[in-house]
Amino acid sequence: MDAPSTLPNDLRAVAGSLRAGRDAILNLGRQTEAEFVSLGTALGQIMKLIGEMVETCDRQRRLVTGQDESQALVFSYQLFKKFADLANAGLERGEIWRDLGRVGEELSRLSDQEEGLSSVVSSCRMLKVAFREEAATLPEAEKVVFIDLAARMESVYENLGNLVRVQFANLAEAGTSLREVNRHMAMVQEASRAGVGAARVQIEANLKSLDKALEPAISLCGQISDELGRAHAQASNVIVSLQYQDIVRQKVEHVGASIDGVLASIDPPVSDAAGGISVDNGSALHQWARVQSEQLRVARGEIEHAGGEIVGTLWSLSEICNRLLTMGKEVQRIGTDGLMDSRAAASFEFRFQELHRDVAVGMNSAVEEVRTDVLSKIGGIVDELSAEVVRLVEGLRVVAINGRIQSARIAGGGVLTQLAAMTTSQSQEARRISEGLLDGVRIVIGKVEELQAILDDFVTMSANEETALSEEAKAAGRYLEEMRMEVENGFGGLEQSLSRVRTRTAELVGTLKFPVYVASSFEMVEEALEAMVQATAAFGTTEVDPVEMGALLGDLRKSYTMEGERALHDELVTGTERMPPPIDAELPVSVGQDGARGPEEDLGDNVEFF
Amino acid sequence: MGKTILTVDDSLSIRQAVTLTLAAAGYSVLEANAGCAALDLCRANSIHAILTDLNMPEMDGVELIGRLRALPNHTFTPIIMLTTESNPEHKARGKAAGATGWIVKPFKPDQLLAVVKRVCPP
Repeated sequence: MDAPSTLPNDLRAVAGSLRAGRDAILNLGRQTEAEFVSLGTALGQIMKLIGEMVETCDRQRRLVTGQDESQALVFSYQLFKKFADLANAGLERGEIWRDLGRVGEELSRLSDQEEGLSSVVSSCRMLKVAFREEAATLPEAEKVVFIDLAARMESVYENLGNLVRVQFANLAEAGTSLREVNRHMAMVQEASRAGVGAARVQIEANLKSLDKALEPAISLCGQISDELGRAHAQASNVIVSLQYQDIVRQKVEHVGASIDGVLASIDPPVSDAAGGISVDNGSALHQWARVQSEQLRVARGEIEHAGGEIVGTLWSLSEICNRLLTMGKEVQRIGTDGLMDSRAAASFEFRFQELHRDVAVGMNSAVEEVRTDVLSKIGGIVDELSAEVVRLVEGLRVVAINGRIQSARIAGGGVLTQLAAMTTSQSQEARRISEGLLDGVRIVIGKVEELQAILDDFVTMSANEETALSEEAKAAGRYLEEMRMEVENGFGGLEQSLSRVRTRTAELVGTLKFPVYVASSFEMVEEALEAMVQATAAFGTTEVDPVEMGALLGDLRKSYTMEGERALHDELVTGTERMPPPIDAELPVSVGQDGARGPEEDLGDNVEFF
Repeated sequence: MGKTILTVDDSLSIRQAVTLTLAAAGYSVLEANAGCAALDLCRANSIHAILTDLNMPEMDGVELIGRLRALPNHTFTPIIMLTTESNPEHKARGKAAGATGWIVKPFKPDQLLAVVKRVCPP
């Protein structure tokens, strides 16, 4: 059968369908642009949120790892060490209680004088007896002298014996009180030292425990940073995919122009009943329609692939947000729990202050006790003893002088001279003892006054340190509380941002409709082209003008070939190293082939500077 | 105030992608959908760098570059062509007109930012 010489009239209907398909495809460009712009706006919001989360996470990481030295985690270590050092220094100063022991030693030396005084009293008693015995051997006129001297001597020492016993007993009692004070202070010191040691051990254990508790949080912070980086990369991938819209638009504009070209050649013969398209033109149309149909299917596939890429990327972003949410909550929990424990540990600074105060109060009461109880008692004792001894000394001196005077007048003067000399000796002994007592008391008073001065300094320094410690402890407590709230709010904010990102990406996935537009628009053209293929099948595919066919096919190839764009898209999204896409598939272009300077290696193969 | 970049493209989604990328890095971005609008913006504003598409209706990117280079305050302004075309003949035309560089779409945001930072540090 011969091929028909003109195109059939049903081609008019096909032309109408083709026209409708062209309009649908051109409309596709506008519809996808509106949708992609909406996607881009939402993506901008998402990227802004991601940027804020990165800043928050970085800040939290610095906080938890203590990299910022003004923050309390590092500050607390220094503060607690300072507490311990101050407490120890206080305890060292509190060692002044040992000086009370030296006061006790001086008191012992005072007590040693008792034997001397007792010996003087005994000697005086013996002298009195000697005087009386000598008096018994003498005539009445001389007897009176000796008896008078004996009576004088007795009157001098008669109270001293009791006084010595009583007052030195009181002195011993003062010494006992002092030893009690010593013992009490030693106990206070030991208890304080033990308390400081225990508190320090507890604080160090708490801080180590905090460090350990925060380790997983620190690790998680690092992972969160990595995930946020991945989220940012995924969002960037969507921006790459967004550009597909422009490429699609250009392609469909080519398609539209190509269809216009064909319609221009179809319409006149169809409307002109007398004319017709030649066999050659009919064959070209047939070939064109077959190629178009095939290429259109490829193009639709590529565009749907782009849509799938976007959807897939957005779902990945959503999954990243889920992971971030879980990690963020965990960091928040670890951070706030750990910092709560640390805050409890910070309360130990008050324990230090108590210990510090205990030592100061203890020292104060001890020295006060020594001053009011021991020292004043000692003073009273020694004053009374000294007064009596002075009286004794004077009394014995007078007896000795009288004895010497009388010895010159009486016959028993030789014995009287001896007794007087012995009396003088006792007087001198008593004076020596008295001076020793007074010296001893001066030393004791001096030592206690020294202690008092040291204690006053101690109390003043303690008060200042206590104030400083209190202020620093409060500051540390505030820092720790601020840190805890920062971690709690910071990761709470992260949670909110992540929820917003997750919700937004889910919304975007739900509203992406352009694959539907693509399918329905391209279907219309595909059907029209298929109808044209059927309508022009009678012309066959032989004797086609190769130049004209080559031009048509070349134009179509430019319209539909998206393999290059897809390859570049994939390269950018996955990082695979590949060459830039050629527009003309038969002439692959490599950078530098035209002699131009190649792009910087680190900026990608699709970049070139002139 | 950051530096100002002008993006010229008849595709709204491309302009949006460029603005998203550069605004996040602190640049101020002006948009033009055609060559004429771009020239008006360049005369009225202080522009530190320009990104332009090649294939635009009425005035293509090469013609735009030529006209920009004729303006006294844009003789040395960095102008980067941002286009789907990678044909050497197109590149040669662009270079001859005064383009500073050439990026083939699609671009990755970090890539675009690196190029802009190189020619126009923030």
